Amino acid sequence: MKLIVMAGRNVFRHTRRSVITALAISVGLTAMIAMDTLMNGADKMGMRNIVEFETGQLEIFAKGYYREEGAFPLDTVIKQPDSLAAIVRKIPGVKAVTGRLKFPSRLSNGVDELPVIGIGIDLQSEKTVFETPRAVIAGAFLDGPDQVLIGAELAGDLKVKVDDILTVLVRDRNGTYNAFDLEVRGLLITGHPLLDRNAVLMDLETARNLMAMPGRITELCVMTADNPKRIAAIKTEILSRIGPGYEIYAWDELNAAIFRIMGIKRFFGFLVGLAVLIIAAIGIINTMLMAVMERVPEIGTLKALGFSNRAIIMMFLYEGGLIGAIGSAVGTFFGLMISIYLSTVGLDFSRKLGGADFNIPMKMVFRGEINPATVLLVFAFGVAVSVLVTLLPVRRAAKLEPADALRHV
Amino acid sequence: MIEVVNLHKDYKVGKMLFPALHGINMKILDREFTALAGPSGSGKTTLLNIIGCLDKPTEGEVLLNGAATTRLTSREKSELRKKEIGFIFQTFNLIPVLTAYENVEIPLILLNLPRDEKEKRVVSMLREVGLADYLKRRPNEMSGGQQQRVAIARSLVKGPKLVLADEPTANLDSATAREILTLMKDLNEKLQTIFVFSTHDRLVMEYARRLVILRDGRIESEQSK
Repeated sequence: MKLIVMAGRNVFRHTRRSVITALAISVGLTAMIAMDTLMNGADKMGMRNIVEFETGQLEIFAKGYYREEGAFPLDTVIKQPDSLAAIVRKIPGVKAVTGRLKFPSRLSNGVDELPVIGIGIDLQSEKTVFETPRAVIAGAFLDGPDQVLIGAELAGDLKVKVDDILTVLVRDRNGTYNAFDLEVRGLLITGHPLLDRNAVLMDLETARNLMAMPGRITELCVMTADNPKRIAAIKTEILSRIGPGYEIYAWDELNAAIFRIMGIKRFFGFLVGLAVLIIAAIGIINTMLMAVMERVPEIGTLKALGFSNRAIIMMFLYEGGLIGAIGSAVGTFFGLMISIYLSTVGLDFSRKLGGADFNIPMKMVFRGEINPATVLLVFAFGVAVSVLVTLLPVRRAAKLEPADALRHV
Repeated sequence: MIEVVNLHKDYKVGKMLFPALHGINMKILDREFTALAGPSGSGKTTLLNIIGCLDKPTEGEVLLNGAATTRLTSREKSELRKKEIGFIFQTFNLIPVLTAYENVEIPLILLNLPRDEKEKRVVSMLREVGLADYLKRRPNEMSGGQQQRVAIARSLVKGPKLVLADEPTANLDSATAREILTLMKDLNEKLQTIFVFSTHDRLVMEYARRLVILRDGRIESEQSK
C-alpha cells in the first residue's frame, strides 16, 4: 500500500468531507467555464455582426474619408464605384463586393424624431456580402425605391410597424435640407446595435437622390472567399491595384476601439472569474483546514508509527490533489455541459414588443463559444488550488512534535 | 537496553514553566516487562514520550542500545520510530477509515516490503492477537478490547526492539484488560521485545515484572518481581 493508496482510502472513506470540498471546487469551476463560454460567445457574436452587417471583411474608402468618418465628409467619397468594384472583383480571393452610402439623418414618425445613420444599399449585391436580408423578422427586404428597413428596436422606439410611413430628414451634399416620406418595408434584428437601433436602410438610388449624390458611394465593402487569415494579403493586393486615390481597412482595424472595449470587458470578466475562484478557494481552504485540524491526532499517530514530515505532507497533498481532480473533473463536466447548451441551443432572448397596435415577435438567440484552452486551464487551476491550500495547514501540522500532535484536541 | 540519564522536562504555558520530570535516572534491560506507575501528573506519559522520541527533554539524555536519541534530527527520530519502536495508546489511535488489516499494515508501508511479505506479516500478527477473522473490520465495528488488540498488532508487526504502551488498559473493562495484559506478556516472552507501560491500573502493576513508581516527576520507588 503506497501513500497514494492510503490517501485514496482517506478521500473515498471520508465521503461527506470529500464531497463538500469537491463540490466547492466544482461550483467555482462550472461558473468559470460557463462564464468564459458566454464571454467568448459575446465576443465572437460582436465580431461576426461587424463583418456580416457593418463592414464586410474589408472596406475601401476614398483617400482621407476614414480619418473623418464620424463627420461624414460627403465630398471625400467614391465617385467611380462601378469601375472600382470591377477592379476589386477580379482580384483572386475576393468573393463579392457591394457599395454603401452612409449619411447622417433624422427619422421622424410625425411626432417624435430620432437621429440615425442613413445607409443606402445596393439591393442586388448587398446579399452577396452582408446578411441583412436574413435579419428581416417582419415585413420583407427592400425591393425598390421609397422604402426603408429599420431595426425592430428602433421601430419600437418610434412606435411604427411594417407599412407605416416614416420621414427621413437630411442635409444633402449641398447643405440643403431634404426630406423623403418612405414606407417601412421590413424590420430587422441583427444583434448589431447600429442596425437594430441607430440606422435606416434604403435602396442606394433613393439614398443618392436624398443626398444629391448621384453615382456615389462612401464605401465599397468586400467579402473574401479565402481563409480569414489571408485577409491581410488580399488587402495588400487590392491596395496595389486600386491606386493611391483610395484607402482600405480590414474589419478589425475599423473597429479597434471596440476591440479595446472587448479587452477591458475580458479583463473584468477575468476579475469576476477570479472572484468566483477565490470564493471557491476560500471554501476549499476552510474544508481542508478543518480536515487537517481534526486529523492532527491522526498525524501524531502516523508520526509515532514512523512517518516523516515529508511522508505526511505528501499523503495529504495526494488527498488534496485527488479531491481537487474529482472536483475539477465534475466542475469541468458540468461547465462543459452548460457550455455545450449555450453554444448549441443558446439563450433565447426572443420576446414580444408590447404596444397597442404593435406586436412583433423578436427572434434573437445568443450563443456561447467554448474555448478548449480555458477548459483545460481551469481544470489544472482547480487541481493546483486544492493542492496548494492543502499544503498550508498540513505543513504546520506536520511540523508539530508527535507528542503535541497526539495531545491536540 | 534503554538508559535514561538525568532527564528533565519543563512545559511552558505562556510565561509559566511547569516542571514535569526532575532528573530521572533509570535503566531498562532487554526483554523487560516494565510498568511506570504513579498518579496523574506524576510524569509517566512524559517519560514514555521522551523515551519513544515523541517529545524532547529540557535536559538529560536517553540512550537506546548505547546511542543517544535526544539530539537526533526529526528525520532520524522518524527512522528510529519506523524501525525500532512500537506504540500502543490509551485511546487505541487506530485510523478510523482503515480496516484492521490496513491499520496493521501502516508501519510496513514505510519499510517498502514486498506485498506478499507485508500480507504474511499482517495476517500472522492479527492471528497472533486473536483477530484472524476481523481483518476487514473497521475500528467502529470492533469492541474496545479488539481495537486495542489491533493496536498491539500494529505496534509489533515491524518487529521493534521496544514497545511503549501509554495506559493501554485505561479504556478497557477488567476482564478485557486482563486478556490484553496476558497477550502482551506472552508476546514479550515470545518475541523478546522490551515492553514499557505507563499506568495507574493496579492490574497492570500486578502483571509487570518490574515496577517503577513515579511521583511529582521523580522516581519514588522501584521493585522487581
